[in-house]
Amino acid sequence: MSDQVVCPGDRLVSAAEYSAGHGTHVRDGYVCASLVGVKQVTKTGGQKPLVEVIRRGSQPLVPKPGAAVTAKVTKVNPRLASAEILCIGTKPVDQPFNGIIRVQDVRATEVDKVEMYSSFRPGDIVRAEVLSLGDSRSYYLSTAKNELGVVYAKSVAGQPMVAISWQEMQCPQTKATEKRKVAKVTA
Amino acid sequence: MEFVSPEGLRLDGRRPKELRKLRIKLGSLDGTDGSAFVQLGNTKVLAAVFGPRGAPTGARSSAISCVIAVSAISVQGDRRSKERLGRQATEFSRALTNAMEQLVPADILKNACIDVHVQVLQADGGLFAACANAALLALANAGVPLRDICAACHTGLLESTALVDLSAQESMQQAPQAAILYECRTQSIAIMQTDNKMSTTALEELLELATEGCIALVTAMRQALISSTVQQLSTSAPHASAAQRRD
Amino acid sequence: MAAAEITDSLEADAFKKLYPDQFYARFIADGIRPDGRPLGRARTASIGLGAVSTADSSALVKFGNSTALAGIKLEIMVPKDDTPNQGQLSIAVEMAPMCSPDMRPGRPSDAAQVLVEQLNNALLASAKAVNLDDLCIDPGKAAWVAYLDIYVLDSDGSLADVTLLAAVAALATLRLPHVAVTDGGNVVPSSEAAEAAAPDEMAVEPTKLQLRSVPLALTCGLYKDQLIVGLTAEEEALVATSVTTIVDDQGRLIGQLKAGGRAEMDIARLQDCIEAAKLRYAELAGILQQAITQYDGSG
Repeated sequence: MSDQVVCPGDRLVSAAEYSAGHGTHVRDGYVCASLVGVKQVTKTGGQKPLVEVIRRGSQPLVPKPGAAVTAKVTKVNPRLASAEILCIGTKPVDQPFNGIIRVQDVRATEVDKVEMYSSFRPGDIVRAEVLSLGDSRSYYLSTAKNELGVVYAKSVAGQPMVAISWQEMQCPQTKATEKRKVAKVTA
Repeated sequence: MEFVSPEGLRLDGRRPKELRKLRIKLGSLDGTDGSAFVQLGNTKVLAAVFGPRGAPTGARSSAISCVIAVSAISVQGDRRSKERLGRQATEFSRALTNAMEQLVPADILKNACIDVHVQVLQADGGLFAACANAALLALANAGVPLRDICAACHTGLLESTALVDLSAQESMQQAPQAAILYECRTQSIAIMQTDNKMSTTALEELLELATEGCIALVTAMRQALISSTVQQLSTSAPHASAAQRRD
Repeated sequence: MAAAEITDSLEADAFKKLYPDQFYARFIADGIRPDGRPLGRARTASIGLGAVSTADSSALVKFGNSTALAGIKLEIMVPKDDTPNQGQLSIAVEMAPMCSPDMRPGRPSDAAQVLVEQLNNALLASAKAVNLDDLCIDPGKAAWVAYLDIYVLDSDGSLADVTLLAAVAALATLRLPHVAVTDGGNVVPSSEAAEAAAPDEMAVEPTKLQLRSVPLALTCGLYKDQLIVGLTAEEEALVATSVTTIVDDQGRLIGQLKAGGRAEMDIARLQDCIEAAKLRYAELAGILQQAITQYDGSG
């Protein structure tokens, strides 16, 4: 492996012949490095080859629209649920990002009949999708797909509950059921 | 006391254009996203970076913040000198924050914030230059995208000689001084600070010398970043080849 | 069950982040901790003396990632009227903003205040490690005030242990210059010191501050009824309660603090903590002595 380690500011290749990928920026007609890392060129069929700078070790992860995330619900009110994004894909973030699930993004059907308290409770772990960057403080998240929603929740008795339908979970100790927007986990 | 001997030597035996011994250690603070320890002669500073990460509750004026703290144990004199340095540190923190906002791409800053903390452990002149250099190294170490690696340098005119990288003793004289944060690729000055009045010719001379000093520092900083990464890569290479064998 | 289904698709790191308690419980059930240590072992300590030359004495101490830098600067003061023979030891602890991702600069930290209290108790009130009479220069006229500043640079648990060791190391290597008070009330290098030095001899060495006792601390926690020794920050968040025990070189109990928590401890458990602290003491005292000998030897 030919390691060519580059530094921020280093000129890599001409911007006319290559496209700028992760870890690079374009300046004065050149693709330049933005990170300390290894320069990597990938040939894309038909288009300009892609130049990237790959850092070893943890990249500072930032949620992007369309990304699947796992978050922990912190607050619930009638209009929205606040959650801390803990994982992007299968990788944990170093610092939690704030996310919001609005009432219209909880599920795909019967959007006007959604009750937030019957969908989420503080402490629930949910799988969601990033919709957009939202306002400057939080990302907008959506659970409006069958496979999105609550994946782990504790009952009022403090026991982890078992999913029994797409909108109910049961406490194994007290047998009481609680309403949630449950994620359908395919076996 | 003469600061430049007839043979052209300074109090610590250096030549006018000679920088003090530079030592850089990256990534020594485990809980941070990136860190850098910089020692320039007897000045020691430690910088740490947290971010990019989610915006905290409460209003912030900018997505990137840089705060320099001067430890009480770092100053030569008594606790009053620490207060004075502390005030200068606040002023410089703001200038450094502004400079960094220009160096980090806007889309990273849009919805995430970056905190840079610098702690002065030992102060012997060239303080804010050391802090700026450490802050930039820590950002690069944290993998925050940067437009360029910049360096900062401090110069002064004593006994009609332009000196680079002043020690505390040299900077205590009421001589013209100039410190800059310099961007090598664009050959431009991001921050400039002067002390005591001086002629424009003197200023030009100091800026030219400071530029030379910054270029030398950037070379050393780049080298430190590259060798740290090469070292990391060589320790992880066995994993990479094992993964290839599995495929 | 929901949790089990997702574990397969999550990496260890992600599982640890989402379900930290389950992650930790799995290790403890096997008798070790995530970093490989047995339940009864604290982290290795490293001590660097004289790290900061602008201070009159300094020590950089690390337990794993937990890092504290202690420095002492001496200044002259006029002794207080009611204690004319005593100087002063002023202790301050600062949690550097870089020590933890949750720190915001400018906001005074409760944790720092707690540490200052513990240090004051350990060094002055309970252990009387420092005798303030030793800091007197001229009764009623001049005395030393030693400003002991401790900076927590990396906060990864067991802060009471790290800061106390750093403070002790800095105090153990502190040298008080020989000075005398002139008629004008100024403090100058002692003329006795100047006279005593023969022409071909080095000037008289400043005197070392004598520590009357050497207290060291160990923080232990209780997790699912197991005693965990030498906690990291992650462990401190997971244990039901934690206890800090301070013992000194003569095996005396200087102090023990169990500050609430979700679980109670009986006397036997608290005794276990004291025993663990004594074992740790032997370990740390050895490392400290070695560091001091090396430091003194290098001049």
